[in-house]
Amino acid sequence: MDGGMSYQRFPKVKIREMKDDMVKFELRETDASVANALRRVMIAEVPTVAIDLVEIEVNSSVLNDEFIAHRLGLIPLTSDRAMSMRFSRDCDACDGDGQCEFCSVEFHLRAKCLTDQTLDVTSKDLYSSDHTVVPVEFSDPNDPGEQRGIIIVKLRRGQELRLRAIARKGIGKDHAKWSPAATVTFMYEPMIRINEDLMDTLSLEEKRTWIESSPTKVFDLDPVTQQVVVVEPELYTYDDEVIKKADAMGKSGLVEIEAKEDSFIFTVESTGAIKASQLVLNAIEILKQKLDAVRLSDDTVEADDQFGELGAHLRGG
Amino acid sequence: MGKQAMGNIAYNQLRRMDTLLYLLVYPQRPLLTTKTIELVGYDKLGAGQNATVAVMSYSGYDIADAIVMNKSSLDRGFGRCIVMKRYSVVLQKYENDTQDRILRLDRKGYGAKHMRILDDDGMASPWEIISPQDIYINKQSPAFTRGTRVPPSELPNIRYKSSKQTFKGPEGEYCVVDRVALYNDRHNNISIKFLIRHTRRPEVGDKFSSRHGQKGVCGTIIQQEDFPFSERGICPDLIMNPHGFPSRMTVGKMIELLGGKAGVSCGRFHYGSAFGEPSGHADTVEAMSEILVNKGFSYIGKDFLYSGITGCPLQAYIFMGPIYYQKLKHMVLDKMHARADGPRVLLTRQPTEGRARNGGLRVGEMERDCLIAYGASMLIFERLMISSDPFEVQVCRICGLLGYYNHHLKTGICSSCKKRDGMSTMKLPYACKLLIQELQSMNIVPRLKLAEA
Amino acid sequence: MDPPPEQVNYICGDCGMENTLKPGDVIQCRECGYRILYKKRTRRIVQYEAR
Repeated sequence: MDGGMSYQRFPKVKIREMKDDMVKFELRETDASVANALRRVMIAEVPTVAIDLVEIEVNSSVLNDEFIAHRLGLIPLTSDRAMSMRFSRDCDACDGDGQCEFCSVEFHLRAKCLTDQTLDVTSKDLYSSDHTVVPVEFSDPNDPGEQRGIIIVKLRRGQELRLRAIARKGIGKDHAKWSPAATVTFMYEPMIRINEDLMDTLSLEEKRTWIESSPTKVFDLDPVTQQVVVVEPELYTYDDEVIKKADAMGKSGLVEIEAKEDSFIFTVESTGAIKASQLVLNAIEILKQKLDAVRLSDDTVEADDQFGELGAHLRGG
Repeated sequence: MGKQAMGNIAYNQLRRMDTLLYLLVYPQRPLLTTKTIELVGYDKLGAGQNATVAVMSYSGYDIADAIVMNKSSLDRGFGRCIVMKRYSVVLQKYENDTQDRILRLDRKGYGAKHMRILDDDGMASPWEIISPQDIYINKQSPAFTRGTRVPPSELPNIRYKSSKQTFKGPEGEYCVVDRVALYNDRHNNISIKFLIRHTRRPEVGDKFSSRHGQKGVCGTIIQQEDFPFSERGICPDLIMNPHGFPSRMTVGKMIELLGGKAGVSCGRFHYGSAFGEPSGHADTVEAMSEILVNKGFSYIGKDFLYSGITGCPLQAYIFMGPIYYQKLKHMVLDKMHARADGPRVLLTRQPTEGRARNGGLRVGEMERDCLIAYGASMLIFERLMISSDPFEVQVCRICGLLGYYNHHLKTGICSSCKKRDGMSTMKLPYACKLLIQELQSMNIVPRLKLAEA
Repeated sequence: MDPPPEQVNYICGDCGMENTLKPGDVIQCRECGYRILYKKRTRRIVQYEAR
């Protein structure tokens, strides 16, 4: 065999929409396995920083210690530094104790309710020792002026909470608090073809009922030409309702809908720990690191006898 | 499963000291209720959580009603419960005017690491983490409790023996002393109650149930990225096996899923009762389906999901939506039990019974019948004698009664014939030897007739 | 030498006042007469894993 067929493809990315915490992009000319690998890495293996150890001095609130510790762990912290930080277990500076400045960030919280009004202890009351790692500030889209933190516990008059927390780097595979992704999902881009000849045999009323049978507004009636046009192909949820309705009306084959096998539309929403666009880039970086670990490991070279061509291909031969 | 579900019991539950109390960490009210539930106020004290459930076969760990759970949901607090147990100690007064006392310790010497949590008064402080074998009260009882009354001047000099109480809890878990209360009981003895709290995360083996009698044990816990996901990014918390539906015909569960999904989409609570539709006390399935269609879902509640492992779409539409799931009080941590060798009952010298006494599992009469049916005679011999209470006896071939073994002469001697020839050694279950002796005490003579082995 | 033992005070269940008990005392709050006393929280700092 002279080199064999190369399976390498060159995926293309086109960004549709980009906000701080959400990015929507198209990934074309690649396989479902690549898209899924990207999604899995985004959820489980992109590192962030989250609170891991809590030392409570005083807690007279209604929630018990481990309840508050659990809630503190789930607070998202801005983790732009996370990719360059070391894991606590690998840190040499502190003998793996996990409390030095290179591998961890320290937080303090002191709250005491002195008034008769209920005091909300929120993530804003957590003071960090490193100003780049702070609890994420999120704002209500309906109320852009006000920025409230995440409520940890509510205190009554006389109740007090004092604690010290240590945040460390980790990945979502270990515990969900380290996952930077709120939702990561992709859909296959649908290819919708309307059979124009068959569509012309329908009356206006029939066209309207057919358009309405789809739960999402994929089709619409063009007001000028009175033709059925595809207005939003991505809203199609593959529920086959329009196909079933066409069959029921006796007009099978009215529309053909196929999922393109190598074209994906990704929607990535982040928790705020990392910007959504940075999340995608970090995920690609981590995926490359994992593949390098396989490619350059000694076991792969030795297994060349078994895998032959594939091994050489893996190493770019 | 209402009686076994964990949840909130009362508004003062954190002030009570119950023997055993199960609380849910994050209780929720059900999405779909009926008018009757609201009238009674049953939804005010939530006893479960609304889980997003997908009804599909997945992984093979969901056979026979088992449930597959999402690890990330468990990390975020789904199904977490708090178990509170009470331990009481009474400082008793005895007839000779002595009483128990609690001593402050010097925390050195042998066993010091089990005394870490004791305070200056010899009792454990609240909010300390307690591990198995830790002492939670250093009580001492007087060595002599009967007899002549001890005058008060002699009290500091009497001897005490230690009767400290140690904590017997699950290994490796974070149990915390919640509260310590002191009071005088009705005989004016000082009595102390310790409430020990344990926050438990669901694990493989914990029992869950929906409100329709569909109970099941957690079969396995799988990572979130392996779970199927929809285009909107929703991935289920729980996967239920569809084989639980056909023979059980729990239509109510399907309606609950539709109603819950409709409620979540449109922001209004619905009623899921099967009665009362004309009067507006219940919502019809058609009305709920219409809401689903308006919000972009399929009218029958099925979604198009992609596999989390391969990324390819699943070949069938999956019924997915919120269902109210309750965590039941049968947890594997309270039930798992194993014994290789251990304590025996004094009377019959057989292994003890019950998990608390480190007991063995009984091979009962019905199990014996099954073994007989197989003809497995050696198995019966092993189970019923060798692993239970084998006992070597000396039997006199002449009179058939039991004798004893004399170690100096190294031979068996018959108690009635008073001779040493004609003794055979054999192995009997101790219970059999006990029966022989009990019959002898009632003037019945059980003689053993031996043949060659 | 061990430091001399500090007096452990207990909190009344009703009024919240701190009482000190001597061995052999009847358990009763000095102020309101409530007959159940609770121990105070430990002075040591406790560490938890935020999982």
